[in-house]
Amino acid sequence: MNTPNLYFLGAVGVFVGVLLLVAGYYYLQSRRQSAASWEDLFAKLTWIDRNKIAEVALDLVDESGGHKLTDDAASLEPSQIWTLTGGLDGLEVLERNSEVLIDLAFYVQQSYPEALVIAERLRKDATELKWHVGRLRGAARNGNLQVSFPFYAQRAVVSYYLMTRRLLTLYEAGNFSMLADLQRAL
Amino acid sequence: MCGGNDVQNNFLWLLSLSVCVASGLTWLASPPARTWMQAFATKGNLFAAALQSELFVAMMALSISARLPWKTHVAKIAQALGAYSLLGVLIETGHSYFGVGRELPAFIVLSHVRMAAYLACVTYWIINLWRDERPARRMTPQMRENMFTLQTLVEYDLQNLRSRKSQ
Repeated sequence: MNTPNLYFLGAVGVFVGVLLLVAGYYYLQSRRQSAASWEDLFAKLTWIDRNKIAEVALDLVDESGGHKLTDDAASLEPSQIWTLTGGLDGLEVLERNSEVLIDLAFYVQQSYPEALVIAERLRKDATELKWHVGRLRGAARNGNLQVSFPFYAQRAVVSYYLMTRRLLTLYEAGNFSMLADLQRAL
Repeated sequence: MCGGNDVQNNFLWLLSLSVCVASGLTWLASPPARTWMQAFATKGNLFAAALQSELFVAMMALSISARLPWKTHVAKIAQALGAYSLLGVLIETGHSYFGVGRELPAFIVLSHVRMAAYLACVTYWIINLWRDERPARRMTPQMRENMFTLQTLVEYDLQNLRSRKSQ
């Protein structure tokens, strides 16, 4: 066997091997997603004080997610926002919880395929949340965290708060028995 | 890959990567051919098979990351097509290594393997499409109306988000 053919066969071997590994990994992940019970998903949620989240979010937006136009809008002090959110660590918990919220929407979507749009909306909100937290991580690396924190943190909390409201609305509309547990957690 | 990523951007990125990898494999191949046209056709088939299998895996990864259902009839069609395209890469690799021509025993064997694989895929499709999908529950008109409103908002917000991320 000449050298060019050896390289070619080696490259094809690596190529097919990588494709099989990636396909196998995602196939197993899809089986885990489908097989996960509601209790399993719910147990992944990290407990967060929902009153603090609501306080930070409702300082900027109203219940429906629209920007508040009243005089008392955006009145929280940066130090209050830091305390209520738990700093960057607290926002990272929200980031992890946002993935669980999408999984909880996916759980409903398996019975109601039309509920796909809720999962899409939550994914969009989670992308916003990650974008804001990513900005804060960048600011932390540059030593500007204190300056940037109030702006990005409050918007990240708004995204998370709206995700929780949308998920609760979905469970309410579907009249699911798990609603009470979810209301307690969110 | 996290579920929160923008699927469209990821798909475009994976598409570019797939074309580069398939082109690289095609460039490495040196099929024994009598004419340049035969070499071109053999390389072209290898490129197409590699690209198809890469796009199948990328589509599978993205749809699972985006929590799209992977057990519908559409998914069953995609699964068999994906397995067939992966085998297609191996068959086209054989063509590129051994050459193409009815007088070559390896070419005949590979053709039979391809035919058997295709028949296996057709059998898989017949069985799975014959079975009913998991029954879906119907939404109330109010829920459906809420979903429609939400869909419009999602599309609008997504445009804003993409323009913000590109800044």
